[in-house]
Amino acid sequence: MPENPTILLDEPSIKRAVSRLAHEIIERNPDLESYVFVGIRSRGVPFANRLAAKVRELGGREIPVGSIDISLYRDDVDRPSERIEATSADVPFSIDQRVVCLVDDVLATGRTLRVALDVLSGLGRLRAVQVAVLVDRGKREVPIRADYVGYNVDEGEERRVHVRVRELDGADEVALR
Amino acid sequence: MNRHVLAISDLSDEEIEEIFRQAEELELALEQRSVPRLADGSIMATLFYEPSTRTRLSFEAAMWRLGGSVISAAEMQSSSAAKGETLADTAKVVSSYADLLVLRHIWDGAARIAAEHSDVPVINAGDGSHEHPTQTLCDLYTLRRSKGTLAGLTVAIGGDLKRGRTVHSLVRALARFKVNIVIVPARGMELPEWFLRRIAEDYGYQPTIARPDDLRALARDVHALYLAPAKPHQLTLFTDTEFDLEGRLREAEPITLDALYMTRPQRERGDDAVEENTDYLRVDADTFQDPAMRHTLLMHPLPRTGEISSALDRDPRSVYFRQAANGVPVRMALVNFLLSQRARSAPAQPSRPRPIAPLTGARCANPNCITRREDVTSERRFRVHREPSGGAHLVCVYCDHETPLEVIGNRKSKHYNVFAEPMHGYLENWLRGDTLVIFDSVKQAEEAGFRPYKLGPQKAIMTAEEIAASIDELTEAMLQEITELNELVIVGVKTAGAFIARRMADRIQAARGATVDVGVVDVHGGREGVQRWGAANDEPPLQVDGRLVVLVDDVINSGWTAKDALSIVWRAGRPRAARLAVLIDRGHRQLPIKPTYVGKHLPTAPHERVRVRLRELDKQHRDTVVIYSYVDPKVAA
Repeated sequence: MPENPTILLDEPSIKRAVSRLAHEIIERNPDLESYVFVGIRSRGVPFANRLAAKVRELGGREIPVGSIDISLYRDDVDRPSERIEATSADVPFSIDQRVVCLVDDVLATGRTLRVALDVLSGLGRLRAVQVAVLVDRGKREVPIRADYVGYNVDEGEERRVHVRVRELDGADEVALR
Repeated sequence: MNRHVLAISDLSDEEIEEIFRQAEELELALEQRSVPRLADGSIMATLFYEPSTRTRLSFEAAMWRLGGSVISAAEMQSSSAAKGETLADTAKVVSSYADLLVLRHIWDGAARIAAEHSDVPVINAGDGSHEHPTQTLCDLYTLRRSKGTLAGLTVAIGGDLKRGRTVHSLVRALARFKVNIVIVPARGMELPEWFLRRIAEDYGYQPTIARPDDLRALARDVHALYLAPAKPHQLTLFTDTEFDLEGRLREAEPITLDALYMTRPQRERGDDAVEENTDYLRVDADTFQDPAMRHTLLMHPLPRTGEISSALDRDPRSVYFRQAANGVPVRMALVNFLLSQRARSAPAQPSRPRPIAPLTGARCANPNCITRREDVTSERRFRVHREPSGGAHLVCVYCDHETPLEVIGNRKSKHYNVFAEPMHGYLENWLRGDTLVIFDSVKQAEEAGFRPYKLGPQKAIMTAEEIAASIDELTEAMLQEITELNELVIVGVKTAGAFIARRMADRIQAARGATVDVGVVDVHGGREGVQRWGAANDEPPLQVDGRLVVLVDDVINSGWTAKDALSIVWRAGRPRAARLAVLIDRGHRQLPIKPTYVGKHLPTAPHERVRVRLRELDKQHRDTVVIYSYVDPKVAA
């Protein structure tokens, strides 16, 4: 393991990134009335909350925040008749006809988002789904993209993107290790 | 004609009475160890696609007690289901071994599929989050046995009301037997809107909704709950100061809570972390100490997960263990009822209004519906439900979920139109004339050979040569990134996408002399899994595990089709990676799907249609891509 991690984003730059994403979201969605955030546990949830707070600050509108947990969904094991039974959702509002913004910390293979799309479409008849991520590190294995990206990591980078968030890890930081 | 019990509504009031009467006799006979061998020589087959201990054991105990015998495949996942046999086939085969089939399944509406193919009566022992009628029979039986009657009782139901099939069956039955219902859902676990709407339509009844806090208040002061004099079968809950409360209290008559029915969170059907849900109703000795709850029965379908404190187990009002024990005599009575009906070869099923279910290409919106997993032979799989506004939606015959009505067509004239207000009258006429066809999308209607009513001028976008060149480019782009051709599988999205996939594989064959597997997925229902191109119906699906799947479609816009195709692939196995190739990307994305390879980017307006015509599909045409606008009543209005 390399001893010197490279810091990509520190606390102020994460704050700026969240702020920029919130601006982009407001710009692309003039009608925020039907907008909701759904964070992907664990580290997508704090970012969803921060985006909601920022949008409220900028646009004056309260946007509901839900969360889904797919950490138990095993993408790598051989289970042909698997259902999305190992996933769970805490979305205590209707998503019918809503635009759902899925929020996660890192987008890489896209497998997580693919499962998240299945979970979401099981929750109601949503109108559209957008995706906001703090870091897009490429290496896609599923044809999925993000609408709002805080920081792009070069596709050729072999080191792991490591995200820490204040709410869970005591500090805000994105590093390569 | 076999009688099946798929939902509690399959039994008439008189039949339920008869079953309860016999269950009481059998309960006594069990105590006296003198049970008549009513099922002597009969065999029950139990098919459980989902783990269950008590339901299966109680069915099997019931059959043995009646002198019958049981054959069982408890772990269906590891037997024929894993080999890809359809439920329809399994039901057909097993029904030739037995006189009665008991089915539990993970998918909503599965019991009806089994019943359609079984030669013997089918009892639904729970299908997905749909129905669990025998549990409900036990619940009603326990309630009636303890209270002597059902009509006019007041029952509160607490916990996870969103997904529990037990709860849905129960609420339906309680409403039918004129029991007052107070529902006390945990946050985020409310009864679904559509379900409440259906209860209101079917029984003219709306359950009272209370928050857990209200119920705790209720425990302290049962006078908070009153029957509204204007609507005898309707409760009113006064929790805070309301207008003319005094006057209303004088008119109203206080009632007591006859039973509190608790449920556990339905973890296996996907849910919240309940430990975190402080809102989840829990019952302990304290709650039940209140004199107002003196006669309140405490019920639970079991197993429990902490909603009811074990301190209450010895309380005479706790009837949950009796409820479980009653499962045997009630199921004995039901088994005997069905077997004797069969012996009498009773006439057709009673009292279910024949649904008007038009021909359809539409797909149920419920992702857990059996019709999305398995080919359904019947094309008539929806009822058309008219709304008071004049609009309409579809109700799945199998799982009872609602699906929006998107595109309707006329079978005779071969015209389609987007369903919107100007079409309301047509719907009625076409239904009556049995010419109505329903589609999920304009694309699906066109692939079925239907034309829009009004067309704008057509404009050719691509010629045959351009299409061929474009498919070649897609293929080349794909090959640049893929070295191991044996791990590649090209999967076309039915219908046009499948032909493009075929052509790509043919080109690889011509250029490289390598044979590439071609698969087909059908996002509009039909067979689950990735079928091999040109495969017969009984051929096993293509393996995608560890392989590189390139999905191919003709046009991408919203992205829903591509997302559904990806879901099908991932349900079929675990590909190493998936990519998406499309001939045309016309924009208007609603999902975060990005095609990996695109033949042509074509900016379009929302009311425009892009149609790829392929020679394989449309004999009069050479390959073309045309664009035209259609008159969408939604836009016109």
